[in-house]
Amino acid sequence: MTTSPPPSQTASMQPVTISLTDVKKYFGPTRALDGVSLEVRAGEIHAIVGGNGCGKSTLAKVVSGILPADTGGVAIFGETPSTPAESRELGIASVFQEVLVADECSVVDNLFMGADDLFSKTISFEDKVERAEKIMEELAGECVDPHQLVGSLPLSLKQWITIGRAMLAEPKIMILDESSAALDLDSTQRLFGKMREMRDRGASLLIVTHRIAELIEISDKATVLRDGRDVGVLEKSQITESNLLALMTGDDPAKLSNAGLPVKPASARTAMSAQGLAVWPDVEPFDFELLKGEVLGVAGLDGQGQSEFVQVLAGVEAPLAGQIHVYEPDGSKSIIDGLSSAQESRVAYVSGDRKREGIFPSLSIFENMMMPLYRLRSLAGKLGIIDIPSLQAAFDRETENLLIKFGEQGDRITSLSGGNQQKVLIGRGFALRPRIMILNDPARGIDGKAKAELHKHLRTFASNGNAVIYMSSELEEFPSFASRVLVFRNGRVFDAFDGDTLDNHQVLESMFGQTDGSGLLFGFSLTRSSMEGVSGTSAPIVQPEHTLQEEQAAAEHLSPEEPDIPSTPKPIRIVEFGQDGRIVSGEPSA
Amino acid sequence: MTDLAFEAADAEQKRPGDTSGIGLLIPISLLFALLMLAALRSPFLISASGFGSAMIVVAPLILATYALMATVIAGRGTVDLAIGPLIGFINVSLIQLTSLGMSQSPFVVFAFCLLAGVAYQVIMSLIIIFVRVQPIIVSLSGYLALTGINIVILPRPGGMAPQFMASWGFGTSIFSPILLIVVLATAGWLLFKRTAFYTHLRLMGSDERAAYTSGIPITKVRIGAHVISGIFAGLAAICFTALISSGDPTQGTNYTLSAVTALVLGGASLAGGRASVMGSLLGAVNIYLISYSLSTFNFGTLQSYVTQLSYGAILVASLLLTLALPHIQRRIHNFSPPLFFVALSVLGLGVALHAVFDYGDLPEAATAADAMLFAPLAFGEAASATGGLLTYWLAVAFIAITIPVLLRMLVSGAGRSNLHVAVYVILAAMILLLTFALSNAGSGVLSFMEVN
Repeated sequence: MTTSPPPSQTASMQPVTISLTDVKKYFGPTRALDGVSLEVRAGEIHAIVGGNGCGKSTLAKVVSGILPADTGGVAIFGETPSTPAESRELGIASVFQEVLVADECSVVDNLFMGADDLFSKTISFEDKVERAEKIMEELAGECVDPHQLVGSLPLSLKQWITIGRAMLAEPKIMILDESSAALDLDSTQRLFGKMREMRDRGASLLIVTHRIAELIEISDKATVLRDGRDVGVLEKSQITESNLLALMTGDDPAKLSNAGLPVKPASARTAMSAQGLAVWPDVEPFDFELLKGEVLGVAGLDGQGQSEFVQVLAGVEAPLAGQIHVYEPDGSKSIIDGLSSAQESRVAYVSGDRKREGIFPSLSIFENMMMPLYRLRSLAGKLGIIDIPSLQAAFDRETENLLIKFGEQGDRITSLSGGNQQKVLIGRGFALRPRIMILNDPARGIDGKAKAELHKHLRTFASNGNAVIYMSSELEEFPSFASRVLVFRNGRVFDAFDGDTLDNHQVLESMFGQTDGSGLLFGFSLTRSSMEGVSGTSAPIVQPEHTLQEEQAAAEHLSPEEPDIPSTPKPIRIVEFGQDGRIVSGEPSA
Repeated sequence: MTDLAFEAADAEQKRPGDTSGIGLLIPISLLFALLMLAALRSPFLISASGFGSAMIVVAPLILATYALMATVIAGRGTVDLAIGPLIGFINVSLIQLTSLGMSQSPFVVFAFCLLAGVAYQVIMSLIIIFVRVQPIIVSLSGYLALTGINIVILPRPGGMAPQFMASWGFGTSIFSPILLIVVLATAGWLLFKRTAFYTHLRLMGSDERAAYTSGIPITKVRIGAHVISGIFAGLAAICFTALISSGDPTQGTNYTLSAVTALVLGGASLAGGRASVMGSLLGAVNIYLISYSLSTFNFGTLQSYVTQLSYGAILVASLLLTLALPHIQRRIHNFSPPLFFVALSVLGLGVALHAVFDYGDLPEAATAADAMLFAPLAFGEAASATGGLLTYWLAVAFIAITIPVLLRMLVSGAGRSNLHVAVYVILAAMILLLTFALSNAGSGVLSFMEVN
């Protein structure tokens, strides 16, 4: 993408900046790093890849001097920093997984955090303001008042501040630990541009990321970690999804990449519906329908209303307009207007924002998972004594199902890695025995293997006649998982795609508003074979003027058998129904 | 600058969610409300000696609040409960050392008080940092320990303050060394705000992990915060000693609750990262005015309970109002805090004038107190010979000068959503000068003073 010389040729001549030899770091019985060696050269973007709890973040912290290594050699320009202040002296700047900003302070103070000496300023305040304005505009692509308090800014801008802080230090080594997590695609590209600029200036960049597509694009070299050990180093040309996955999991890559077909609703019974729903002010309301047995993917660029949408469906937020109904197994309807009615209708919600909407950091793993069941399964009526034995059974079942790795169930949840914490939260959702599971970007900070397991679970869950709504910021999650994908744009549903023929490029185009929204006309643009299988058996009830309710109508045609799907993704077909419900035309879209 | 440019600047600075500038509105409004109440209930306050004695009484509280402010910004919920007993400790140890023959020179006394305060705070900070005990527990232990030690050092109130302090506690004029200490302390803090160290302190208080990972030496910054707190505690102890002119092992303890209340009333966040010197100053003055106003009512034996009840009620009410403020601001778009402040001060001055002006001197004024403010020319002709009117004209002339200055500032600062420090300075000067004009010329005030 850039005109820089291929780094693989020049980098080998560049001096080594970071050199780790057999570094070990234990936290009590947990082996975070169990002998890691790493070599990073100047002018190189080096990725650290691995599954959850494999020690990536620990490695980043060891390099940046926040955690001292127990044994082994850490040499950064020949020295071993033991505090962040020392590593800053050496020219290391780090951006950590958590968005570390001081909410009560201004943008400019946050950007230049650590730049001054203890008592004297190194840069005059006016200079700082000017540079702060410039870098925020470059990075975030919008003007940010440097005097504004950071606490009032959205998460993505806070993330930019942490990145901007590291860049303003003009480091020789920059460490980015999952730092694109809160950024959308557009922003990520800007960040990559900046990173390439820094690399071309001769800086070493160490990135830690779960987003395989991103790291394939940006990194010159990748070190793969598994269970605290480095299991392989890949050069630029070798960095492919299958190679990475093979090293990360130690499994045959083919097993993971072809995980199967998306679940299909077995019948056209509706699980949930919404009429005239609006989640943003001044946006035309839309209708929505979810079938039993469906895994509905929800996508969109950051902050296009998709997150509000799933929160409204889960009863976390109240809709601005419209009503949400859940259909009970006996056919009766109940309205969701808040969390308590959502709970009664057995709708469970799992948030990806673990820190703020998920875990209770000072409570144990057991308490974190079983908390919502305390009241539901209490003994002795109003006295509400916690029924430990029955909860224990549920806990054992869920931890086994989700393969949660933990030491003692009484340990604090913060002793687990991020991915395992997320599994505990998902287990919390499953423990409620929901009929509809709503997940808001649950895969944030989870590795590929855990993700695949999660998808498997949700698929099983859906195929038992339940429904799943799955919002994700990573499009790679949807193929062969979601039975339908809704794309949000400007606060409402913009387009819909059928899971069988899902093409991520099209979804992406749609996220940027480049599709015509034709998928909405027919919630399932069914393949011909499945269409033919049912066309004679059920009467079509398509009414073209109700463009947004066709999902249900189209679903009437679903065949009970698995449709035969070609193994390669096909372009979406625009299907039109005539008066009698037959397909009138069906051309592949461009 | 064109109007359009003004509007653009306005729009840029008034972003949604930016409520940093209006945080002081509540303490300021409360200050004026209490001032008006106090002036009406007891006009003695609006006089040279009234201000003078108020200054003497409020100074230790102001400085104690500053001492708390330094550590509360440092985060971790470092509310130093021991501030009251610490003031008492420095007071009684100073009195005992003086009686044992320690040099009474101001230099030695100041050095001792400041060093004692700093030494205590540094010990506390080292315990907090290296033993990793929660600050609130450390300060509670300090509170209990110092309360006991004070009684061991000086079992009963008594002793004599150093000689040079003897005249400080008279409070006949506001221009006392005590005022100088408070002004220097406030100016010192304002200067401190411009240093890199203060930025580090605020960053650390707001998010300690962020500060640490960015390479800020948080241990040094935390010790520094305690050193500053110790300096203010020492100054508070000096003012306290001057106020009571003796030693008292128990009275200092009362400052803990008042200072914490004043701090919160001034808009500080006990979670760290946010506190302002103006807020703390206003908070402390408000606490004093509450107790002063209530002392003009006769609650008999219930007096102290009513005072504490009011502290609590006003604290809760002001916190609620602060929470409601962003919502109110969203409704009222063209709200300018400086203008609001000026309107309040004009109203306050009017009430103060009304309270202290001796209408008896003016034959016609007695029947038309309001008309006096609106038709000064007519009065000038009617009673030009009286001293009261001279005062009146002085005030009018002063207002005539200051109002254009203020208007100029209002125009230049119209887009700002926060208050400019100069506004405080000008208005403080205005109130002071008015007081002088009144106390020198207004015979009614003088006679009132004699009665007291």
